[in-house]
Amino acid sequence: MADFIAAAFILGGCFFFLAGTVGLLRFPDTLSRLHALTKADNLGLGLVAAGVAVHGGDLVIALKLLVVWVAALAASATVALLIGRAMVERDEP
Amino acid sequence: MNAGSLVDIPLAGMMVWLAWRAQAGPEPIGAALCFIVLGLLTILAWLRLGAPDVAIAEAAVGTGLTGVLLLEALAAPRPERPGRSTGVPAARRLLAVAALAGGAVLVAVLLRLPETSGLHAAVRERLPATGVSSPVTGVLLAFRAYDTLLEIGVLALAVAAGWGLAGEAPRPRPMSRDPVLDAFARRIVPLGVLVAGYLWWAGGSRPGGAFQAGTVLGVAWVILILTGLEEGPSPTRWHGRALVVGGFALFLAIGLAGPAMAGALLAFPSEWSVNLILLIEAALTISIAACLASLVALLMAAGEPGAGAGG
Repeated sequence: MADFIAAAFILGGCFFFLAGTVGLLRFPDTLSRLHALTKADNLGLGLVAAGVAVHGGDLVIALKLLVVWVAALAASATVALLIGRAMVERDEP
Repeated sequence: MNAGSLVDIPLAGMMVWLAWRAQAGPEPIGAALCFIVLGLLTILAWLRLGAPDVAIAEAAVGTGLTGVLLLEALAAPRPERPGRSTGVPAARRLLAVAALAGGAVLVAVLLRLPETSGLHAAVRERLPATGVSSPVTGVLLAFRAYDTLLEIGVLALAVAAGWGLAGEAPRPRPMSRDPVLDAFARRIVPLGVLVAGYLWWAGGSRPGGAFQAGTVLGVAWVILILTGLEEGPSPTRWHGRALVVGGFALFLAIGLAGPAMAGALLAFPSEWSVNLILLIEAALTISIAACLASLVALLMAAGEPGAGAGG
């Protein structure tokens, strides 16, 4: 049962990574590409981490994975803001 | 074909392709990005080979720090050199021939390797004498200490050379202070310091150690330099220099005391061995972080308009 839940989480995460990657390749401008990358990858990473945590079945490992996910969220939100701002400043000097 | 090779074969294929793109691409920025992605895949390759120590080092050095160094180097203005464009292809051809020859020799050597179980048994047998329980740390700090000593020496020399070339104290440009970036740095840097401390301590018994810990600490320092919250180690102040050479100096001093204390150069008396190894690793961690932060600060200073010649 735990394996089934873990597999469902990880497959769901892979779907969001795939969607984010397609968005990154197909969207026309930088801001939409950033949107695809940060939103989908954050959710994808969260789902994969949740799946691995269920699979590991250990609270300490789950907490470490949570810290990894939160750090990645903070980094990707900050980087997305910086890239977006650099983009806006370049277009409207 | 088992499940493992379903992962390994595409992984190896992508790595070869990225390595090709990293040197054959027309644009330097694309080549740098391919190199960074190649580093990410190298982490997976080391994990597949069952070498988590190398994977952690690759994650910190190969993608984290080398990526920053490459991107900073690309941001630095390149000096115009007449006649350079005609010289590059010949040099490249020579490099390609040398790389192919080196690769061929490696393959030939690999194919002729005698059947052996490696040095696992010998290391495991002598590991208790070092006091540490991680075989990788035992090899790096005790059985092959001279190698590690020379590595940190090379790193310190590179910083000294960079400081010498820069001429004056490198002053990295402070980035435009940004509240979001500041808030991120103030939260992520303490976490980085914590992870570095853990990696240093873990090195005694499981994957981790000075190089991994030092690079994580160095990357935390680099974030502070990039956000303008802190500067790199100062070449004009004694503590900046002490941070860069401290690890090498302490390692060398303890190694030189070896003949008197334990009967051989770079040998540790067995009752203190584990304490000395952890002490040396702590000093190495801090020195590696200081060296890497210095190198990034030097490159950032070179990217400034009006920076000293050479850079």
